[in-house]
Amino acid sequence: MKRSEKTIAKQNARRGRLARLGGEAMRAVRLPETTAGGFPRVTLLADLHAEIENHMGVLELAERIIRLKTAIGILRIEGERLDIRSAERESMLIDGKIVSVCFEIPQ
Amino acid sequence: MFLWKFPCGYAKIVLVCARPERFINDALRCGVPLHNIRRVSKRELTALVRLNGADALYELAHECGAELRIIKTGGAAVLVSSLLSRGALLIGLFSAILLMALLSKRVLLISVDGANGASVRAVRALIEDELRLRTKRIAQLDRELIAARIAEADPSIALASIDFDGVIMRVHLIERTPEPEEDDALPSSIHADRDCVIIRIAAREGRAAVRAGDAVRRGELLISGDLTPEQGGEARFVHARGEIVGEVARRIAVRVEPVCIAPVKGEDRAEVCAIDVFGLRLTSASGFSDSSLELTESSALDAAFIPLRVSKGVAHRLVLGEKRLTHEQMLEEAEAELAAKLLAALPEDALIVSKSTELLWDEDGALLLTATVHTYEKIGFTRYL
Repeated sequence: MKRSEKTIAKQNARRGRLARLGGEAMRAVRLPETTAGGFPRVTLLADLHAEIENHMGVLELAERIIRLKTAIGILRIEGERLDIRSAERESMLIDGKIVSVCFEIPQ
Repeated sequence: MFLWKFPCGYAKIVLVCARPERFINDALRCGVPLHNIRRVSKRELTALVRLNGADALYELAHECGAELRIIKTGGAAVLVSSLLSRGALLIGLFSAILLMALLSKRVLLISVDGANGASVRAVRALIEDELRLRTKRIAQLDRELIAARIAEADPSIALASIDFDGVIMRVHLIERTPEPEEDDALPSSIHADRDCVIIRIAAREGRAAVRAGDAVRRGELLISGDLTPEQGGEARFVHARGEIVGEVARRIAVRVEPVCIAPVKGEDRAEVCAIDVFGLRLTSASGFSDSSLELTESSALDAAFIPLRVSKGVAHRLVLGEKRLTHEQMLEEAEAELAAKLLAALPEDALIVSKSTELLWDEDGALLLTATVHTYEKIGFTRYL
């Protein structure tokens, strides 16, 4: 079990590096960075919905906070009455009154 | 997003484990999407999952040592499977529909009117036993033949007519009325007492002068009591007897003027108040013998489950005056008057065969309602020779 967790962590780290590399490559050839796979994309509809693409899993799920792992760090969504309306392998739709969306600074 | 819910079928799950977030990630990694994920407590969450994903989640929960319960299932797939499990019920339902479809082609109820109890029972028995209606479809039944058989079987029935109303067979009978006491010894003949078309004529004594289908005028000879041979010979007279049923057409017209004399609100008025309790209205005295109440203010004072309403208004003294009728009121009045006239004009034993009404509005606003009624009635009166 520990081994598999380590493997997953390694894979995630590799995906993060690849995403960054992909983003830099896209910038170098003057293409939109969104075309590079791996970058999380967050779409907000007012303060009602947040759609997160390219997430890498749920770290914390509570009524006031949802933390998602992404290729470039941990995405923190704060609000009230938060719930996950739909969770799929690469995308997630969060409902509730969203107050803030931010990336956590690594310690 | 939720379009999948009904067609694919869904299950609402409760998951209890130490780290529900990890379970969500594992489920997503296994390709099982979750919806409406809601954290209930630190160790518990609820979610919706497709029916086909529930098995995979069970296995996953088993591997992770989590507890997974399905608390609700729904959608078309669940509905179909539950229906299929009620196969007997479905078969019964389809059988009932099939039976109803088959029975709707046959006579299920027989309604007989126009005769006394004994005749009704006899007619019912005849129809059910001898004619074997239940084995035949309504389309195969010959109404005239059945009517003739009924009239033949019971001599007290003068005429029978049959209508079908869905699966109900309605039999209308006209009974023979006992013959009035007449001086049987005197020779007589029977004459038409009104204009009609002869439907049925049966001369028991005497000679029929007309046939079924003939149109006759009032006073015309129907059954002659003179049996003297045409070639000459001894004169022979009898007291003519027989049953004659004819179709009589009547035209009844009613005219209703747009203005009528009726009580209308007068100039005199007085303020009144009214109390409504349990549907009963108590009104303060207005001082008028006939008055019309018009409430302007109303307030509910419901207390202790007693529906109490107090209203304030004006009472107008009613005086006779010209009242203009609306079209609906005119039509209603005309129909009522026409019905009363019809009731008075038709004999008791008359059987209404057809009825049509014609509506005409005059230039002066009056309504003219005309009804044309065709009835089967007994015809004839005795005239002594």
